[in-house]
Amino acid sequence: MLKLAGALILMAGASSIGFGAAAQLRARVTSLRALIGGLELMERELSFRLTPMPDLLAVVAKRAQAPACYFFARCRDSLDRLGEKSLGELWREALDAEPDLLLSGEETLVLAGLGEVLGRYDGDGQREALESALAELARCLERAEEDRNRLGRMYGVLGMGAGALTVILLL
Amino acid sequence: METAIRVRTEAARFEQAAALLPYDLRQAACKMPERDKARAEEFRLRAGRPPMVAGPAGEREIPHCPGPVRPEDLGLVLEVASRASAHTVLDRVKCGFVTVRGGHRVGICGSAVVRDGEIHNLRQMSSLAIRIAHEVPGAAAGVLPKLLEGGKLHSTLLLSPPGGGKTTLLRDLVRCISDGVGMEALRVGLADERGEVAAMYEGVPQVDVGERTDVMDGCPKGAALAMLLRGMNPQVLAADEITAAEDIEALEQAAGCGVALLCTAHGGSLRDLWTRPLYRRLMDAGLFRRVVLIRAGEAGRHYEVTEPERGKWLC
Repeated sequence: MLKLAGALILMAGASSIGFGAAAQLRARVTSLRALIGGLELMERELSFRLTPMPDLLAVVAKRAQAPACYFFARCRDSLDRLGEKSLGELWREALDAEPDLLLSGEETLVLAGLGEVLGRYDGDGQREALESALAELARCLERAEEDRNRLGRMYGVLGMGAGALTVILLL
Repeated sequence: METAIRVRTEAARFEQAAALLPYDLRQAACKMPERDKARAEEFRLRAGRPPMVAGPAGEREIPHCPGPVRPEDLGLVLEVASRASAHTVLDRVKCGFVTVRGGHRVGICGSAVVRDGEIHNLRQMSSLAIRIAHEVPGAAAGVLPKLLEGGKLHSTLLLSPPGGGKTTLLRDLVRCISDGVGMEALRVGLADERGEVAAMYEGVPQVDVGERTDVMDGCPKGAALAMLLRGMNPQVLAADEITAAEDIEALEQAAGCGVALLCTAHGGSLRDLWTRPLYRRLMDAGLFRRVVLIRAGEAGRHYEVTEPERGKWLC
């Protein structure tokens, strides 16, 4: 009975590691989609209304999906410290403070680069930077979706398989 | 007691303007004595040079500053001034200044980017002048009676070199006329193109410009004066810094409607009005019946009121 319980616990533990890794891949896709949605909204606001940055960040924080909305809200709140730090630095700090965004190094670089442009140039210049960042993130999203489809199921099966193998070896 | 309150008020304005500065500079500026803060007129920031504060006695270095102004400090000031929204103030950057909340004006100097013969942007800033907005209630007390004849306000031009206190005097004249201080209250239409006179923020003036003052800000003076004239039925039209032919045309139109004018112009003497073609046109048209010449001195501003037609000095 004790052996059976131990085997079940081992199986469940290994499977949860596998399924956790797969969930991480799904969450990355969700996060990138939310970020892209938020940045598209920024681009539209800049195109049609030349919205000032505090209002722009407030709108995006309100309307973007989670977890991107938390990032934009953090940027909006940090504008109180503008003057101590530049918008680029505050944007970068907000990126670092939101691990739930699950960004790769490349995606972080793209977004940090965008932060150095926002609020510093005319509407056209900022829109171009947003379009460029959106194109890069769209490529990253494609890769993240591929990873989710290709590796997501595999991680789940691997976790269960590893658990089963360990149980067999121990029994 | 009144002086102490005044010093505190002016020091608070200084600190409001200092909030535009990068953190280290702001800390140093805010450590200055209250009396020095109250007398300060401008912050002068030049890349590679020590940050300065300008007052009636000239410029002097801000004490306890960490070092010379860095180029990125200038960018940071403009970022704060525009609330990280350069795209909303670019048209004003092209004109060389940005007006911020509180009516403080950030003058910009640097390497211009020119497209199709027009300034498109600034590639690199080299210096900034943050002019601290001053509200001096009572500044117009000695001047206003000399602008009246039989209780009627004469069209008046306020004249001084840049930084001479034209805007401050104009603001207090508008307040007095609008509130009826020493005269019958009149409706004033104020064309505040640069947002320095009334310092509008979310539709509310940040300084006292009187109860019967309608403010049109952020648009060219010529258009603003015409709109005020058509829409707000003013008895007095006020505008800061007449600089363009369109402004003169709008003033001529307004004067023809029986509205008293109250304007400012750059100049050190009456002679300057006659030597500059734009102002000569104004004077030839006889739009202004009074000219107030502002002279700055150690003891404060001194106002000379004259009738340009007769060349007669009234004080």
